[in-house]
Amino acid sequence: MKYPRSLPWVALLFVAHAGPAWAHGVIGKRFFPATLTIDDPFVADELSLPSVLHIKGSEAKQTTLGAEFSKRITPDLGLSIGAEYNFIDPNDPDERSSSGFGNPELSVKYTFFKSAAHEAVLSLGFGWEIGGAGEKSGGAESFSTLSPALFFGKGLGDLPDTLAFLRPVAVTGVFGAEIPLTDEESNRLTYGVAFEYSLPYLQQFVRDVGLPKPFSQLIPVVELLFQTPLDGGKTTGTVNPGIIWAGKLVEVGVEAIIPINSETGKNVGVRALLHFFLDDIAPTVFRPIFQ
Amino acid sequence: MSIGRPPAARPIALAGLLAALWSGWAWAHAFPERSEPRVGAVVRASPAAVRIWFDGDLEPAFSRITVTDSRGQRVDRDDARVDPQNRRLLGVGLRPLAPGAYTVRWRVLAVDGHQTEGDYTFTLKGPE
Ligand SMILES: [Cu+2]
Repeated sequence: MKYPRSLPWVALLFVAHAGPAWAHGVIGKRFFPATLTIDDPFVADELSLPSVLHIKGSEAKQTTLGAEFSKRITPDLGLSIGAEYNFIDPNDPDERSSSGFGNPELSVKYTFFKSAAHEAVLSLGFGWEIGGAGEKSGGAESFSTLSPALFFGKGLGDLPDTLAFLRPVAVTGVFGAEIPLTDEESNRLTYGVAFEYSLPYLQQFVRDVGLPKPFSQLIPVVELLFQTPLDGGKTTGTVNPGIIWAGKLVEVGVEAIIPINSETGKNVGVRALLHFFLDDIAPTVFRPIFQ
Repeated sequence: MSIGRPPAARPIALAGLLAALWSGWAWAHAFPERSEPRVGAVVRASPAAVRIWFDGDLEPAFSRITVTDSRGQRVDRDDARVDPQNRRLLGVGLRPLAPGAYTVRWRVLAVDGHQTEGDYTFTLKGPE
């Protein structure tokens, strides 16, 4: 069965699609956790299982279970494959709810700039949502979507002493496009930033304020993600405040999803992530194929 | 698809992964859990040593720590070592310090081969 394009959950699905690759990374003394909403600039061997998203739109409730596996080919070049299963429950009791797999997504990312001293990183990514591979009942489109993007990350550890308490701040971001291979949808710009305040960084490098575990392992985050259609349509987006707990081998994160306008949605949603650092769990197995 | 792999390999690999998850806290990138003097601390007496406790075992041959004063001069005794009794503890002796700000720099190799580095400052306050 084919869903009419106008259903708002079609727009909502972008919320789940937009963060297909979660990566964590260490550069200089900075540990960047895997962020939940936007993809971050690192390549790593890692597994996100599961990611969970739930949000109520004006026409339907959507729940998404996702998984993603990432593998380094070289230390700076990584491949990822992500899949998701969607439950769509229309608010209109006369409409049937449905569920099914969304389209899987393949992506490749290459880190072309790293500065340990400035805790800075730049990467180029390219994603391919494989049209028709998922199920219509899960909201999968029949066409593919390509998504080239530039990713950046910057820790503020190089701030002067007078601003030492801002050194735990880090910013990551993405600036990219989504190109649906169809005449029915316009191309879109996708862009976002994630602000992090790393309590581990505060304790380890700035000031030991005496936080015990697990508080010393928490990283509060706010992620903003926007999408602007290039045909003049309205920008949609979400603000996603949350918290990440980063252990040595796994991290757990949870965020609220707050739509920025009625075009995006009216209700606050939630997303959560359990993420395994495979390169740290089994470093002899999960390492770059070519050094 | 695993051609020719013994059927037992998969459960063993899974058990290995779970074992790594439970026991593996000693693995992975090593980051400091606490230090003496503490990160960013103001101390009253010249400390005899700087010690950093990490959250994972260190490779002694590739783990370094230095302490410098505000002019960049070394004030440690150049005897940095991983404690043989506790491979998570890295320390270095200090010469008697004058009041001022000091920077501790460390670079360690965790036993799994991941390198991490970091630095912090502490301040020795003179008599009032
Ligand atoms: Cu990661």
